[in-house]
Amino acid sequence: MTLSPLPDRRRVLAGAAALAALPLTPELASAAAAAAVAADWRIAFGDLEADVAPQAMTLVHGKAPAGLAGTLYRNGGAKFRRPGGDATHWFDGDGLIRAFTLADGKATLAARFIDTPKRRADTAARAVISGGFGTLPGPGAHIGSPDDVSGANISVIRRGDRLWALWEAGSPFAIDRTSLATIGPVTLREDLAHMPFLAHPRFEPDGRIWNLGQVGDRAVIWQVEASGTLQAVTPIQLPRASYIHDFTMTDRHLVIVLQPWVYETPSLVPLQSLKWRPALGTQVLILDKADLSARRIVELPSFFAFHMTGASETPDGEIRFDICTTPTPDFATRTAVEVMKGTYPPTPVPELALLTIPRAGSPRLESTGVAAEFPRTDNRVGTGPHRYTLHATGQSPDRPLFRGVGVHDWKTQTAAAFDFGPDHLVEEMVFTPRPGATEEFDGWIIGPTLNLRAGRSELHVFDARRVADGPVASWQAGLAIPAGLHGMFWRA
Amino acid sequence: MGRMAGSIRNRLMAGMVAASALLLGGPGFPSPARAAEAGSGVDLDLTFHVHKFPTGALMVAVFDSEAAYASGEKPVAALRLEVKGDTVHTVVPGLKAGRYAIKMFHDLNGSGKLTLNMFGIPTEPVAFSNNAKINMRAPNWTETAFALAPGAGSQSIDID
Repeated sequence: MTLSPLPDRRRVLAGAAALAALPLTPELASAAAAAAVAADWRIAFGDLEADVAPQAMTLVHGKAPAGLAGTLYRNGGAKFRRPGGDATHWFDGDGLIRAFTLADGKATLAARFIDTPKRRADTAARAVISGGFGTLPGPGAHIGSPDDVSGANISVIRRGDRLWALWEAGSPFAIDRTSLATIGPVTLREDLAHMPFLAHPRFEPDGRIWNLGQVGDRAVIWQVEASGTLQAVTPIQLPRASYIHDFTMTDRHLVIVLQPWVYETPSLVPLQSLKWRPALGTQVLILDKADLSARRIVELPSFFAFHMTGASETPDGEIRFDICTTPTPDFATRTAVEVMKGTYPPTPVPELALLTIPRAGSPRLESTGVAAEFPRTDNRVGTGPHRYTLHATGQSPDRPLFRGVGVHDWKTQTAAAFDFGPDHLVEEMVFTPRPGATEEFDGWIIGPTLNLRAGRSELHVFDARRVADGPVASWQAGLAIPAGLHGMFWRA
Repeated sequence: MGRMAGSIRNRLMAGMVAASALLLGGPGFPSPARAAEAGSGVDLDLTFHVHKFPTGALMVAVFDSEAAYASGEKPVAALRLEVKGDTVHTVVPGLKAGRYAIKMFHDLNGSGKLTLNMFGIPTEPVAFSNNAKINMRAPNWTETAFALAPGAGSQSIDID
């Protein structure tokens, strides 16, 4: 395994001297090209044909840290292709719950597909007929509600003793955390069946969540107890029909970024309905959690973002959070289609930025210049300010996704990173605290990579404060599972 | 006799699932079949297979023209059928030979109306003659109409 630190991208790009120092001779470049052929990134977008029974993973590096025990649950599409027709967009695969369990210094992996109406219908038809975010529905589909289109394939959270697999336009799907068996769609109240429920709820310290559900410019604000019981649902009108994937929250406010990627033309697939209108700029809608009818809207130049961190708010009302931005939604509109065909068009890489919204005056979006996606923090900071942001980073120019793990220290304005090299694709990693530790980021970073050369999925653990040193432990599975999206660590 | 929202409407959803929503409108419920006097006309034999919820009532409307089917108004029969098991059977007597179509929903909460969520998506099961399925839009007359020939005819419909 290559263990070398990834230089801070800002410094690499800072000057010709830094560029000249890069050991990119023609020989090395051609060797890298040959390696790229051997280590095919396309397995990240491949198909898993069956559930994975629990299997021991092989320790390939280091040693499991004492005190780290629990299960990393992750979700993401893992079956895209069927004889009579394929999912044509990365977001439209059948959701697969991966469970990486650490106990007694050993790691095991299990994975099970979510038993959705879509998966049943597509399996029976031997074709992807149920459509999705970017895939057209096919002949014979029975689509009576959004839940019939759901791959339940974006994220997974805990509610009570269960997992909820989340999509965006339909119900959560409840999952048994031990067997990973699907319990079924969650109806929070009889009259709220088949309602949209986004994949990135925000958590209160007591485990309650706030979430959005959206249809065009109409939305609801969900409030759900830690047990999974509905607390409240409140309809709101959005100022524009932006595509919303994530939002954020302070102790006092919900903060909803409304990018100028808006639903316009009616279409059978949302992707075709969405139009990029940069002239509109990006808006941020700020709602008072104590009175959801109280709002203000701030305006920014246009940008696109999938993901952001939790937000904090100063006593005088200045809101701050991290957001991973690109100039356009090219990844969603083009790249996520092309990668399913095995091609990668060069695509803008998201950069970590700080969005500051003062109580009065103009908001500021300041990029760090650091390549970053899948931002996570130490969840214990809640809605307080955070010093550290964990993210995927570093991208090879010839392929999608990431090869490094980064930690941004906002206090010192420094970026630490570890580069797995071109043979790995890094998925979202999460932080979990060391038992008994109270300081922010005193704990571990845990998450998988796809080892392309070995053709195997791996699980890695880092000391969160020493990410550049590389993993303290790495395990390899007996197979490759396609790249997933989001997950959470459930401590034992 | 309550009146439901007029017609089947397609509503395009601008969310993750564009155009998946359908509203099932229909005629007033409940009412007995508007049967002609016994012994005349054609009997339509209806069997409903209830797959998930053996409770509540099936609200069934039978139409004899494309216009009536599309508008949801003037059904030739409007039935409320109690569900006590996995099969419900009834006969609509005294119909003229011709073409008919059925739309129905499973009234699970006893409201007598098709319940919709806040975004207009039905929260109760719906079904149609010929077992035509919703596929982003409600099935149309061409997909749901069946011939009732002199003598007798039947439809077997799956719901839930």
